[in-house]
Amino acid sequence: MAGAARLATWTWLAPAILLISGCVRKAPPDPHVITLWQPFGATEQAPLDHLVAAFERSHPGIRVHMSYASNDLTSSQKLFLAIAGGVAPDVTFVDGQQLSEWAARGALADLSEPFAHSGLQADGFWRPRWQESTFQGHVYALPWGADPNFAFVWNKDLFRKAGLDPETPPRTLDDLDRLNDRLTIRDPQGNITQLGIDPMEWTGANCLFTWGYAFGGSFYSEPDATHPLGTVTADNPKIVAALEWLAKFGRKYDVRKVRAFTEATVGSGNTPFYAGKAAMRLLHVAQIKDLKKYAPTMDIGIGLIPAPLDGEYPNGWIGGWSLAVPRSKMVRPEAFEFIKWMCTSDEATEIESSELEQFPAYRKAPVFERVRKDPVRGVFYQILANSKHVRTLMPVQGYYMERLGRAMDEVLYGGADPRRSLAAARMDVSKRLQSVADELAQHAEAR
Amino acid sequence: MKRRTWIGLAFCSPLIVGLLAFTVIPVVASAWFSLCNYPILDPPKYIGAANYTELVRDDQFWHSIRNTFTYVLMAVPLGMAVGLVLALLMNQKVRGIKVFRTLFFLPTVVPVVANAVLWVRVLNPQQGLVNSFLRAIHLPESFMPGWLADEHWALPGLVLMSLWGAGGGAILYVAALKDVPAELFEAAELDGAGPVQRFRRVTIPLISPVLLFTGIMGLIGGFQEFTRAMVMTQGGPWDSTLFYCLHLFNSAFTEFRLGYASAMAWVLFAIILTATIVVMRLSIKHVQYEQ
Repeated sequence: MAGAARLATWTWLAPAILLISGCVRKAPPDPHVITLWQPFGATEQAPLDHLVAAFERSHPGIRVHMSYASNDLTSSQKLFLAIAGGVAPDVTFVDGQQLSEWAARGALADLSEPFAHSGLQADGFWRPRWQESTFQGHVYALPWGADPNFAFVWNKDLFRKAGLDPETPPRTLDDLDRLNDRLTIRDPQGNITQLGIDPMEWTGANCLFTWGYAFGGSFYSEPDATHPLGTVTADNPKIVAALEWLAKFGRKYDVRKVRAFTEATVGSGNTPFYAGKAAMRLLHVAQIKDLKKYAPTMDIGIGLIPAPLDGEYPNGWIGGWSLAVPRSKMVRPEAFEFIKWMCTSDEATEIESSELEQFPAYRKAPVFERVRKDPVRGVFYQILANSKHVRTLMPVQGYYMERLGRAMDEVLYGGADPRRSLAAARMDVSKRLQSVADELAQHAEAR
Repeated sequence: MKRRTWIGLAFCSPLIVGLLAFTVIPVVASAWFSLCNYPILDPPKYIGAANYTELVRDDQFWHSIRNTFTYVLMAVPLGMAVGLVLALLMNQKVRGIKVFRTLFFLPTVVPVVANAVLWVRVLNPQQGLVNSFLRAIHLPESFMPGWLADEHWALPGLVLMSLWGAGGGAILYVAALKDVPAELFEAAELDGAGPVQRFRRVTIPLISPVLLFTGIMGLIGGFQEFTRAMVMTQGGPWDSTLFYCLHLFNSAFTEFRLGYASAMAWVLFAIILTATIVVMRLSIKHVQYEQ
């Protein structure tokens, strides 16, 4: 009986000790270790390891513990729960479009002071990326990458096969529509076997941002005295025109058939363009390496996205990741030093460019001297240097994107009127924006 | 209390503590959050029943309810029927039947995400296995389902995929079928009952408790459908696979409305509870437990 009692006691005691040891607040963190959460997949792991190793070499005595935390650009469940629970990392990646929303919700620490003492200047960064790092005049992150979205690529062999001049890309959307007709092939059953371009390959809101800006539209207006968080302009006439053009494409080629065709080739290495089944596509800068890997012998041309004659050309919008400090953490000097090194040092920007094949957000990075002369990357550089757009700078970005995606679906699948769908989206997002503004005002009063 | 009772409780206490810490307290907390505005990073603020009244006005909420009920009404009976047919086949005395049982059960142990990636290809309208089969039996192209590319077919596509896991229920049915006394079949046969009558009058009543169990578990699982839609369709096209739990997740972690999402969770609990009670009540006369 006594043995059983002892066993019972330990049955209880052992898990209790484990539980308590897991719950109690640890001793102050090791001042020489920084924790970093990153959202990238396996292919980016090696370059990230190289970045961390290079930082540790150049900063003896500081170590970086890096771990994965998913971030699908609309949500980052792990990070938010960690912040709420007071166990957030010292440094986290945050996508530019998320910053206003995260800052407004108090998820990020204010970096204005360390930035002011860092010797860095705002104009050292590409302007759209810098805009995505500040909220209401405060600095909440340093921009790390700059993605010029997107370049236009075409398969010259498919142009030749269709009897088209492979050296003349479309300049206007009328040109693009004509090329699409010539380059799209269907089987006797009406299924697409070769596509000109899928303008909706970048799905949902990203698609509408791309073509909306090409049409010369605007998705928001800057804050003013009456609208401290800006104004939603989802039904701007140019955005409506962009969605009308997409709807026309959807009706002509049957959006379901297009989706069936593009879905047949799942996976980054298996897109219709790399497989020689689509003649044109919108290319992201990080996909240059995919192009080299999956279609190394393809004869391609690269240029700017075509636009209507009264639209914007050259066009594009800039996105990218930034580095920030979660709110529940004090801004440790080592953490800010790491962020500064990652975003601006010659060594880090070189690794970012050569190994991750992405562009640094730091305009003064020496890599741009090389990049601008490169025939492929030079086109992206041109977009980066000319574009002034970002997705939006509003603290309801996640909802705005979801709502734009739904408006697109209503139009493309349900045949709804683009103007009415976008107007409904504007009203919904404006309402949500107003409630965020009210909450912020209450917070300010409470403070 | 006796010393033995204390020792018994001590043995159970890790489970009791775990249940309290990871189930009871979060459940109670979510009931409180459902009455609050709780944007995760700020403390919850009491707003009464506002989250519940907002639910009634939320089009997406009703849309997700419709999708989820449609899915449950299609997937649960079909899954049970397919499972039962499989079980009848697996109950035959043929060589290598254990291999077949293992094969039919295998999809149940494949991770959901791996299954999802596989089924995106299986359901592809142009090159997928399902439509290739339909083409092979000369189904006209105009009737060919667009599956995940078509808002009318995406939900049935997920239902079809759910049947892939019918082997899990089938194993339970096989166990139940093995329990049916052979003499009852013999008696029925002597009384002149044919195979269909024997199945209806003997087999079904005697395995009815297992049918009820799998039906209720299917209902509960069906109402909580989430992962496959999240991985395969993200609720599209045109919200045709926006399940209740996907809408709940988006509310909590995309829109940072944990209070609203908690209210949705409690409504889901009420729906599942009601559905279970209704099924239990309706089945009282039809389920026969062994005396």
